[in-house]
Amino acid sequence: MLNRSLRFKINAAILITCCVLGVSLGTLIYPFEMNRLNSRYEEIQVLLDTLFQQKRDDLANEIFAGQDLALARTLADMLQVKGIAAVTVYNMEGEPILSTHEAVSGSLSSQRRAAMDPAPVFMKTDMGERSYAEYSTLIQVIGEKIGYFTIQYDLAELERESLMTMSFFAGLFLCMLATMLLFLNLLLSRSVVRPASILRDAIRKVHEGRLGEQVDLPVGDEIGQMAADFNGMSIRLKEQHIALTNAIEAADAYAARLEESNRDLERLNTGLEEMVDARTAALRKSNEQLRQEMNERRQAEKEKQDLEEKLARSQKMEALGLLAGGVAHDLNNVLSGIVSYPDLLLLDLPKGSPFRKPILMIQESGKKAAAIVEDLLTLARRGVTSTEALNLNEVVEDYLSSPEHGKLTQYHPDVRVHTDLSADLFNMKGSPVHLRKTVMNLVSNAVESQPQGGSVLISTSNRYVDRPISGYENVSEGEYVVLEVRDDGPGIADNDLRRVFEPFYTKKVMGRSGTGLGMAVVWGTVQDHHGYIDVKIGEEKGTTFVLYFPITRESLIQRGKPVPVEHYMGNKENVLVVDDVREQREIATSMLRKLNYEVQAVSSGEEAVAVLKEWDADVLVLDMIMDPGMDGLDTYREVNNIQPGQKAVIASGFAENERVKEAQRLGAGEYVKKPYTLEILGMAMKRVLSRQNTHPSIINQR
Amino acid sequence: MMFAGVVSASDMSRGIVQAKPLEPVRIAVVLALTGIAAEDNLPAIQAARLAVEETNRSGGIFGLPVELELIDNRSTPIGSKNAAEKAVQAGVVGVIGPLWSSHALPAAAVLQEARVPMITPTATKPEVTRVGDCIFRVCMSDDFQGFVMARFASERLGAQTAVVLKNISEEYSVTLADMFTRSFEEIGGKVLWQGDYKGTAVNFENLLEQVRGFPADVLFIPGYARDSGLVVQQAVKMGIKPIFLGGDGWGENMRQYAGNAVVGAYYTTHYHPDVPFKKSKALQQLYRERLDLERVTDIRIPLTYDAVLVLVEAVRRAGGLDRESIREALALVDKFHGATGTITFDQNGDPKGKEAVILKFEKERSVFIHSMTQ
Repeated sequence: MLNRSLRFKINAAILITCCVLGVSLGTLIYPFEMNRLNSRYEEIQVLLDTLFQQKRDDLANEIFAGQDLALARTLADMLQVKGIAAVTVYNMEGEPILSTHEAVSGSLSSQRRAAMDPAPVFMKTDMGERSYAEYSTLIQVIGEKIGYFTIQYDLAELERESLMTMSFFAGLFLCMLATMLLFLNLLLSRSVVRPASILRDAIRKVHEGRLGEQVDLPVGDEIGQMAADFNGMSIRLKEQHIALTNAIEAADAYAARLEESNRDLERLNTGLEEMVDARTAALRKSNEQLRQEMNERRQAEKEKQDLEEKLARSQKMEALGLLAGGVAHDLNNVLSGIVSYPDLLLLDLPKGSPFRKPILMIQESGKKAAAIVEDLLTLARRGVTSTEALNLNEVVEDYLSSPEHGKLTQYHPDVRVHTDLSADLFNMKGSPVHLRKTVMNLVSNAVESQPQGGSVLISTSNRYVDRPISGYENVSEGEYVVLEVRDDGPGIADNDLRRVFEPFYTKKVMGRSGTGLGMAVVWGTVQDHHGYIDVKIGEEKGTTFVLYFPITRESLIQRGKPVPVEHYMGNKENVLVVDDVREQREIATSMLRKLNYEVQAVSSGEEAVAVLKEWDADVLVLDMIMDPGMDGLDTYREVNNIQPGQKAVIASGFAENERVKEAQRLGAGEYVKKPYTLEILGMAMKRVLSRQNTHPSIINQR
Repeated sequence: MMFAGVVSASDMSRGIVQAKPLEPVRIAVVLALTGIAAEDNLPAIQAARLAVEETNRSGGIFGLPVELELIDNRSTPIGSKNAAEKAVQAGVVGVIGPLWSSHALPAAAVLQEARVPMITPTATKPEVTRVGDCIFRVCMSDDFQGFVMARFASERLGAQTAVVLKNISEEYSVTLADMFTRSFEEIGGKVLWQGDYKGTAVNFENLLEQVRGFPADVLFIPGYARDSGLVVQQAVKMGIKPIFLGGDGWGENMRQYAGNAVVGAYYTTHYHPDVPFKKSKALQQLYRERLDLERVTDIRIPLTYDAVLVLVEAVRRAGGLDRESIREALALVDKFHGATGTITFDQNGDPKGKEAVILKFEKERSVFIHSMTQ
């Protein structure tokens, strides 16, 4: 107890006081409660007595006369009164006659009977767990003693009342106690416990070393005065402490400064070593960079040289192309006579004429000459490459079964030609003529490079390209059909490799075979087909040409058979031929007349316009390039002003170009390329005439 | 009268009562002067007085006047016992009463013990006379009464079902209820339910609510006028209207309690003013002259009248006031002509061949319907 806190002690004091108060209160209240209970008991006694007196005569007579039914009824009636628990009647011997309570079966002892004789007995009894007030009496009517009577009154209600009263007072006391505790605690806490605690905490802080701690408490009471004294003491302590500390600190600071300067010196040494290391590493790195830059510069110079060479080559090729193109135009016109007239001659010749074969030979030669011209045009990049879906395997096989190849193998019996053709080769889009020529050129070069005998392998395959092919910086990624031609020949010198695709650059003797354009055609064809070419040279011997062509998913078209002449005969329609070259006019006029058309021919666009003002032509056959004056397109525009929607077939030695397309867009209709055969012209005429109006369309050669 | 009582009490100690000259012959009348039966018993007092008057007018007994001693039984069994003891102490030659069976039984026990002759005018419970050879009655008993009513209900009213309500405070009521039930069921009828109530009851609504659950042809209420009257009145008020039947406890005084509700009810009884007996006509005459009463209908009057005259006759025949002689003379009474018929006692002390009468309540009076002889 003595060691407990102040708060505990004060609370204990309050608690004891309250308990004393409570006990005093209880002592005061108890007699009142007892008094109340007693008066309740008296009330109950009066009630029971009255009840008995009321029924006494009935009870007595019913017992006396043995009217059990009536007696039971009387007892039941008494039980109706509130609080009555049991009623029992006994005879004079104390044996029960009838009871409303099954539990009552015992007899009344003689003492009890004797006790009832003078006056009714009222007492408290317990039956089982319950308490009862019991009233028992002798039944006596007009001096006749009939029997005994007991009645039990249930005290549960009374006890409950009593309990409630007690609970009320106990509750009241507890509430009072709680209120007092709270109130006194609050008061004491505020004026004693808290200030004391504050003071104690402050002292503890000073004890822990926090000198100068101050307490803010009102000075009114003893604790307040204690606080004031404490404050003064604390300040004095602090001042002394500060003085002491300052002296110590001065000594410490000097020692610390010494130590710090030592540490700085050490740090400086370490830093110096690190700097030297870093500088060395930086120097090494910049050396490395310098070397790399020099390499890169060297590389770039080499690349620049390569590009310049390539540019020069391209320019040269272009110049040659332009030259060849110019020649080709004129040659084409010249060749028209050789290609076209044999048709007319053959139509007139009887079947068994000995001239038939020579004429056919002439025509064949003309066609070959035209092919050479086409090669030239190809070189000029202006050649028309027909773009039909085809299979490279077919092209290779076509070539291998051709008379040209037969002739080649005849000359070089010691060279064997093998093929390794991929069975599931993709189709590609292109011109079969050019590709066949490419294959032929590559194979004949390969064969001819091995005069002592050897072998040539032609192979095709599908390939997906995703990395650069040598010589092409910008190869498009994608699917390609690859044609490889490999020989066992002596190979190509590095120097020659660079010029191998130039026209007329050949190691072979001119005139024996080839035109000097072979490899140039290969190169041009690959360009025209948007493909790539790669040349691999073996270590000791052998050269491989690898050609890449983009694939197509289109399937092959069936080639038509020659159409019988009846199918493209005219019906006396009026045709106007416009061509500045006399031979051309004559060829066209002759062919069209053969084809049963009414034909007029003029030599210039201006003439044509003049004629058409007088004469209605169903179809114009219009040359595209005419010198001097209006060309084909200008002429067509003029004619279209006179005759809107005028049908026309455009004929030109040049490849189909922008001007041809423009004329077609205006409604000109068909285009045929010079030199043309009877069938090509006839079919073109038919298509134009059968057309409803001016939708342009392109006719494919062959 | 009180003086005489005191004297007789002192005589008792000697054991023998000696008739002194001019000392009146005292007859005790034990009945209810107070309590629930008082009103019912009242006519009997008058009848007893008139009978004594008439006797005294005709010379008394052996020239001695006859004197009545009225003793109250307080309408209770204990009171009856008490009253009987008083009568014994008074040294009377005989006791007339009590009128109700529950009162008659304890009185009979006391009087038999003291061997004082007792004649009850109206206690019909068979057991009353079985108490001993000193006990007599001038009326029929309940077994016959119950039988008569059961037959009447079954044969004349065609009743097949019945409900019985009995007053459990009264021996008469309980007995008659049993007798009726037994007879009715023997004949082939069916008692659907038996209800009961206490004699002091006033409100019968709960009981009648139960009765409502058993719709029977007849409702037999063997009570006394007060309680039966209230039952009938409340039943009709509640709309319960079977044919009401009653016993000899009923009478014209029923109207006091039931009013017109009782009209149409039948009951068995002992007497009707129109019976052809000479003494009955004399009694009617007497009442007209003395009390200005047109018709004597209350059965307590002729039965009490007969009881007093039978006792007087027996005393006369005994030739002295010795109670034992008087008892013997009573047992030998043969063809005494009374107002209610000829009285001859059997070995039990019950009259032989008494007639039971069935009356019906009409608006003004009860009318004779049927009679049956034992």
